[in-house]
Parts: sequence; structure tokens; C-alpha cells
Amino acid sequence: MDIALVLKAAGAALIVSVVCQILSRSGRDEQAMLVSVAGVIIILLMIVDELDTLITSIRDIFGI
Amino acid sequence: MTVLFKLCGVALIAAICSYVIKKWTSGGTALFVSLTLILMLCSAIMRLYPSLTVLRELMSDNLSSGYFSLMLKALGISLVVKAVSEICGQMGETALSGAVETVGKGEIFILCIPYIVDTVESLKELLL
Repeated sequence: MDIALVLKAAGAALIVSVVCQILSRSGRDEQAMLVSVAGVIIILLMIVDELDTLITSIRDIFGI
Repeated sequence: MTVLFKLCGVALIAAICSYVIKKWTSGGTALFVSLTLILMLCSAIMRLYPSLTVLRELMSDNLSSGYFSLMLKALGISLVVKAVSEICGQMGETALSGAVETVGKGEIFILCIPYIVDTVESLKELLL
């Protein structure tokens, strides 16, 4: 059980949210949007890897 | 038992992190919570592997091994569908969540069709 991955994702989400807030309050909305898109892509990549592991495990264990 | 406590701990940590992120920023935590959900499901399913292997070996020589394999496949389909449906619901897409559940039910029904046909034909032979 990779708990570190959960903490990494939480840290990434927090950092991205804070940076977006700082950028949007200093009037740089486009850069804030780019940072939020980058954060979403990073977490999506983490999810895709783990989803692949989950579905492969289910296929192997349940014989689907 | 220790895995149970680890999973509970991970769920608590994820819930606390999600709460903190929501409080401090206006950002959504759906992706982060979905990742945690997938990790926990992976861990729980890996725990089932030894027990299911033993059951499969016990049922392999049995007459009802086909039914057992059907049960296992239905269980696997329901787990995948449940996980994806919850992730879609977490993102606010309840229509997608419902569609995934419908697809899962259809798949399980398709798996059962050969056994339903066999049962009906056996009944026909008995009654006619």
C-alpha cells in the first residue's frame, strides 16, 4: 500500500491551489489557468497508472 | 488486520488533506480523492487474492465450478463498476455514474445468459 503516493498527490494539489491563488490575485489569470491544468494532468497521470494496476489485478484475480 | 488499519489510516489522512485543501483554497479535491479511492481498492483486492486462489482450487473438481467462476466474474465486474461509478459521482457526473452502473448490470446479465438457457432447457426436458 503506497501511502506516499496519496501524500504526494495531496502535496501537489495543495501547491497547485496555492500557486493558482497567488497568480490570480496578482492579476495573472492565464498563468494561473496553465498551472491548474498542469496540476490536473499530473494527478491524472498518477490516477491512470493506478487505475491500470487496479483493472489488471481484477482481471487476473477474478478471471474476467 | 494491519492492512485494515493501514487502509483506515490512509482514508483518514486523505479526508483530512482534502478538508485542508478545500479550507485553504477554493480548489476541488475530486482527483485527489479518486486517486486515494483507487489505491485503497487495489490494496483491498490484493488481499483477496490468496483466499480466492484457495477457493478456486477447492471448486475446480466440483460440478458447480462453472457457477463459481460466474460468481467470481460477476464480483470482479461489480468491483470495477463500483469504483468507476464512485469516481464519476465524486466529480459530479451522476449521469456517467449511472451509465457505468447500467453497463455493469448488462455485462453481468450477458454472463448469466448461457446458464439461464441451460436451466430453461433442463426444465423443458424434465417437464416435456
